[in-house]
Amino acid sequence: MTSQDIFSGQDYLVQLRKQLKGFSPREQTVILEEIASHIESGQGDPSLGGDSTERQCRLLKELGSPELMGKKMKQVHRPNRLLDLLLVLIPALVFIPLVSMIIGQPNDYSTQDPHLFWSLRGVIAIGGLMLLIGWLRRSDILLIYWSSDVLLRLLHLMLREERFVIGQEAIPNSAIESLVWWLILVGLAILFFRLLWRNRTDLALVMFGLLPILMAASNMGANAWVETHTAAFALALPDWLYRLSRVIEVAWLALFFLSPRRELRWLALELEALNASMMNIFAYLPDQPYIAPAALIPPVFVVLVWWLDRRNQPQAGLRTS
Amino acid sequence: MSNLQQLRKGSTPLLILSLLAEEKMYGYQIMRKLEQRSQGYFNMTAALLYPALHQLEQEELAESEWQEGPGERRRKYYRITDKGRKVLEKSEAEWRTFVARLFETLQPPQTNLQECSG
Repeated sequence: MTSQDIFSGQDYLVQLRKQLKGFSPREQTVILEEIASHIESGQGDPSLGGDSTERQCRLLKELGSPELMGKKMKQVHRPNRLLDLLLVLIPALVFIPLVSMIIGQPNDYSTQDPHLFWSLRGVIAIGGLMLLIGWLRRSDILLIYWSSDVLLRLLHLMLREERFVIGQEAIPNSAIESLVWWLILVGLAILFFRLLWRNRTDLALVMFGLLPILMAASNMGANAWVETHTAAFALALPDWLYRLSRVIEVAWLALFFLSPRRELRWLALELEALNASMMNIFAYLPDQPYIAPAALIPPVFVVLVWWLDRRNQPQAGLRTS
Repeated sequence: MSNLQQLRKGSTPLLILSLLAEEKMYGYQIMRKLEQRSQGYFNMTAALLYPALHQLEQEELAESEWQEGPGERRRKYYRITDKGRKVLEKSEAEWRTFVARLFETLQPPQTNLQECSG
């Protein structure tokens, strides 16, 4: 069916729905319901014509083509994300390793290590700059990515330095510095959850924000359990696995940012979750095989949320009279 | 796109905000009012109107809420925000200046014959 074959409001809605394929089911529902309401208003408006056929014709003409509406809606709701992708990849792959190179590699990863001290702060500063850029661009996807990244790094810093480290002596930061870190952490957490709430109709985007936190929690939980209950330690992973993991990290981001198809964006999330699980499983197998179920929590969670997203399909018949 | 089409496109947010500044409206109502006020001159299609409304909402110049309508369906009403009012005032002033300067420039200058003869 093409635009020329549109004979009724229902035909129009069917065509429009095809144009909105990259949108979340809820977004599709909202847009289609609004247009269906417009069609209903037009069909009941005597100023459009004496009989229903005349009103129908004029109404369809005034609607404009569904292809144009779909294109304009995409421009508003799905702007070109290539620049956003570059604003994630370039800092993550270039600036952050550059900071580590300039400051120097940590010697012993203890809380006293000055390289780690400055490296953490340098990386957080870069994340803060990217948050500012995301805010200026009004890009929620950039804000979500960098706020979750900075949140995790802040938590890492504070776990090491604010007396929460298990089994290690923490550096007592000055009271003012501690207060500043706490304020930034709370402010960032509020920003992060507000962003997720604002985009709650797009479960893929919500998952995009929550996944790094879920993976970090799963990782920390597994590490903490192993370190406190057993004498086992993580195996040194082969180089090829690290390289594969890095390639997957770039690939999933590119797929998520650039793919117009919703299923591919979910696939990208699953790829990243499996990537993290793979690293954990390889690190602890064969000594701790029961780590495997815990390591699989993120990919299983992604599948569950994807299933919920699919359930929220737009109503099959947004029927017009 | 012709110059006229570009002008019309550029004035779309201003036109919509000016209607919303009077009262909250739903999309179909905005379209009809725009057509009526301009005597048919501004008759944008729904394919342009609704994305423009969504853009205004994203920029926080307008906000929306669903309300029950007289028919089977509920309607999405839009209202202008405080930020939208400020932008509307500024845009109106810019357009007035633009149109005034344009016509001043188009009008041939009045020459003083005495000055010319020296």
